[in-house]
Amino acid sequence: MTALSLAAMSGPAQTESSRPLSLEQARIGAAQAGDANAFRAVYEAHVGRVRALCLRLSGDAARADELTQDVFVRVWERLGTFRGESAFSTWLHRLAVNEVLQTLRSAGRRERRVAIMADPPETPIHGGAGPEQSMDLEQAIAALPEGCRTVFVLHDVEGMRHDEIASLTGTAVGTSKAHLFRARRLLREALDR
Amino acid sequence: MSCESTRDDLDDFIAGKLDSASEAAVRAHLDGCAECAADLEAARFLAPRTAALPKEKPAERDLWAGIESRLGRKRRDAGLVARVVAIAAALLLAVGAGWWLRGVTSRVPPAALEASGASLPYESEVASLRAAMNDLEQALLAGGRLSPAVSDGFRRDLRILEGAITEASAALRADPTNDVVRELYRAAFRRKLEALRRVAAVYSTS
Repeated sequence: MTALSLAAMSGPAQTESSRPLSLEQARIGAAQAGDANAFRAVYEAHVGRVRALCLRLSGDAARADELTQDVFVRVWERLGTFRGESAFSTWLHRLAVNEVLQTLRSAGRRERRVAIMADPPETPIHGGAGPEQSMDLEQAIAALPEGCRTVFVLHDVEGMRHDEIASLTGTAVGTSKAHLFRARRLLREALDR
Repeated sequence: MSCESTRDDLDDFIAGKLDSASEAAVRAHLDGCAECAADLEAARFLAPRTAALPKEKPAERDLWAGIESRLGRKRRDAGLVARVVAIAAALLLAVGAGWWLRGVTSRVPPAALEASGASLPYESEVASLRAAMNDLEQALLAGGRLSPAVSDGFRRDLRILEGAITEASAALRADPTNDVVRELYRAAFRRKLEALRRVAAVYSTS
């Protein structure tokens, strides 16, 4: 029996461990082992979404860039704890939300912008080439009071539940709900002008 | 129905997810509560606009350089097992490119292959894969964690599989558009990769 026929008889392996990993899984595995090039590929795949989160939570483009960098450094540090029990994007997103909220809290960035749109962000929010309408909404979100902005972004934009938001922000579920409805009202008023 | 309960149900009401009884209760409350009606109107107004927000917001400057400069300080001690895992991951990347093999060879007409000379379009990827496999093999065998019996069996299996790869490679070079040969070629690579992964798993737990 030739080596070729042996390989042919063996055929594709059928065990769980033999399934080909996805490209992302392979990159994550390499990054977990310290391969910075593989980590860059992971970064490239997710940076747009992470920065969108950072931008909307902070309301400031320059701050969002810094937060995005902080998030990916934290991802690198914590990559060894990712066991594949959830989708990597879910794990990354959770970590990003935690990192951003913690950083914003510790930096004391608790600006209270009560009069929505009366105090537009100093740095214009730059985004992709979206419709004009979406830029208006982005600006209105950026001008929300911080608590309202955080809950609106996490609930209505990112799709998180109130109990998850309450856990992350250290507030009561009722507070999260109150922030959300206030945010919606303020945004409605701002976009109606 | 209270304002609080109504608010709890408002998103499901908008999405049409409430049962008929709950929907009727929310509707009845909204008819008599201007505050909740305003919340409903705001939510309805915003829902499509929020859904239309871009999922990604790329930065206008390169952020990677600032990240990369901070990585080295954090993780610089990838040990041998970690290195093996990294090589295995690199192998899987290469094998991923190997699955692309079918598409490449299918798209290249035999005449074009002949005109291009002796090289097949995927030859450099295959060379990279084999080099990476050799690296992993050496890392596993040099680690000193495998028993002599496991090492000997491992070497024997790898020799057979390497022979299969060489044989399949020659067959494919002779007949690059043959589906059966291509499948044998992929199978040979896959079997060797599986052998390496199994030993890497034993290695990492020993």
